[in-house]
Amino acid sequence: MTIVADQLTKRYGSTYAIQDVSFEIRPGTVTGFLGPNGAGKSTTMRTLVGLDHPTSGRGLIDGRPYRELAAPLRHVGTLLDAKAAHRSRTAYQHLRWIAATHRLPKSRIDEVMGITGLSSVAGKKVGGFSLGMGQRLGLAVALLGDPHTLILDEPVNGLDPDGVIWIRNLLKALGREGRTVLLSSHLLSELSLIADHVVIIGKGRIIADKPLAELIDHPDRIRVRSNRAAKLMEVLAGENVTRALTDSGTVEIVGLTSEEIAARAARNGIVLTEIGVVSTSLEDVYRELTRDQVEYSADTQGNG
Amino acid sequence: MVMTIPAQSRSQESERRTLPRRAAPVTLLSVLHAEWIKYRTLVSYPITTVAVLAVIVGMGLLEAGSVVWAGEPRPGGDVLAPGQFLSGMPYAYVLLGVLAVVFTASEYTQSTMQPSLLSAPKRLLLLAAKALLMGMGGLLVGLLGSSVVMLAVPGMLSGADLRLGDDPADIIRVIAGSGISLGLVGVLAIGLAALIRSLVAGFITVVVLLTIAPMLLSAVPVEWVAELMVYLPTVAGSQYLSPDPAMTTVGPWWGLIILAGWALASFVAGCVALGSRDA
Repeated sequence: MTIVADQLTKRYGSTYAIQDVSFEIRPGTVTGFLGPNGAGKSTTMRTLVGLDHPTSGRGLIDGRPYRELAAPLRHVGTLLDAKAAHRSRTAYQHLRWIAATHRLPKSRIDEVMGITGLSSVAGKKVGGFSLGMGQRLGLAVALLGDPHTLILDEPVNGLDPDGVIWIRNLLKALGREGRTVLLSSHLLSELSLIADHVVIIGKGRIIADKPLAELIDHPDRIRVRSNRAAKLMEVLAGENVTRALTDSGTVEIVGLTSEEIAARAARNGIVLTEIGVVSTSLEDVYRELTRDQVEYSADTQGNG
Repeated sequence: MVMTIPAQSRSQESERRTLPRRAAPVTLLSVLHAEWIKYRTLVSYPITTVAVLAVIVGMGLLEAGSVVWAGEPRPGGDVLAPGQFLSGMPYAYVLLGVLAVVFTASEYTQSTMQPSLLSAPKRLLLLAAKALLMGMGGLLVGLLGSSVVMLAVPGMLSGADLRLGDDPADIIRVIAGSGISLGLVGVLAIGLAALIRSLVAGFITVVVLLTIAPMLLSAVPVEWVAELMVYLPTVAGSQYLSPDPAMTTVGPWWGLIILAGWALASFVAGCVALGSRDA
């Protein structure tokens, strides 16, 4: 396991930023770390790399706390804050001092600037950079030590559409090289394009930790519209079939194929004016999971 | 590994080989090198360092000039104490102290503390490298500045039939004292800045501790309070400048040891603060 969170808890006064957060990131996977803003993604990541001290629990990189790694940048590259560079230094100078801590050759600085598309602005001061350029510089820093693992907090944030496509391809390429990537986002659609595994956090607690395919592997729902919705509900009844009448007057069915539904409607003389497949997106799953989480919290507060 | 490697990843695979297979560990020396790069890549740091040097040399020459032009008979005869010409040292302490505060606290204001701690996660190592850089910097500037003054002043004085005290021990004492005290002030300010983190608050604290506190204490008309003044960092650290070391409450070397105590206490406090807090 390259990254292990072992019952990480971070408490500020009486509020928990994260509570009993445990997960393991398998080598060679791109794992999405998903959660709404304020759910504890950044706190978890900062704790993993030793910037924040957990109240209890521990984070391990290659089996050791980040702080005990002799050459941490050779293990894991971290991008937490795109603005984490002195505005009066140039991009090259920023990379230069970081490289010096690990005695990385200057040629490596040129390489990471090439990979992140910064070569043309190497001599420009960071203060004049856009947020997107800052993200590129942050990625260059993360890649500097050629780490096998990357921890990236919202790397897509602030990027223009071209930048988003660029980083998506870069992350895919890094994944193909066999690198481990832990990538946080509140943009679910973004993660579903890159990640093969998803850890979902809500209100400081892990609420799902599954392969992406498994998470969205829900039976398709069929949505049909008819002016005899009530009758339709009746004729579709059966074992392993769930039906729901929606507010907009459509019927959503799980457990029957669209052919079966059409056949039954025809036998009973019901005209279907619309028939379609509602595929479950990650967003739906996520909304469902976080809704449970909210209800759970409300319950425990009520009891306590 | 996969059978087909896409073009982009292949190019990155080849880039991977440019790094040495064995990872060089992060050491005090490599972090010191990184701190040196941080220092020299922001123009204001070298400029302030030159200003510290200029203040020591400039005040020394100014003092010599005024002595020569005044031309009055000196109460102590024609032999002048070398410490008299290092009147720039108190200003040098404050300037270097402010430089050290900015050097450390700007890591918070510019949020470079994050990459600093990610690349050098052992926090003691990071602060030690900063203290070493400012300490060595202060030592060198102090030695250089006071040496220039000691070399230039006799020539200026000779024109007015004056001369510097010719006991080599005095000269060595003031040159060594200038270097050591300035270096210790640098370490003291690094520790304070790590403890305080805020640029403005750090700035104020250093100025108050190094210059205003001695003035305030000396103004208190209670004898034992005024006597405490000599234990303040810059006052203790300047005892070596006194013309007659035997007359001082604490000797020149004991004064430097007291200043070293301040520097050590501040550095330890800074380490504890940096080590226990979230970055």
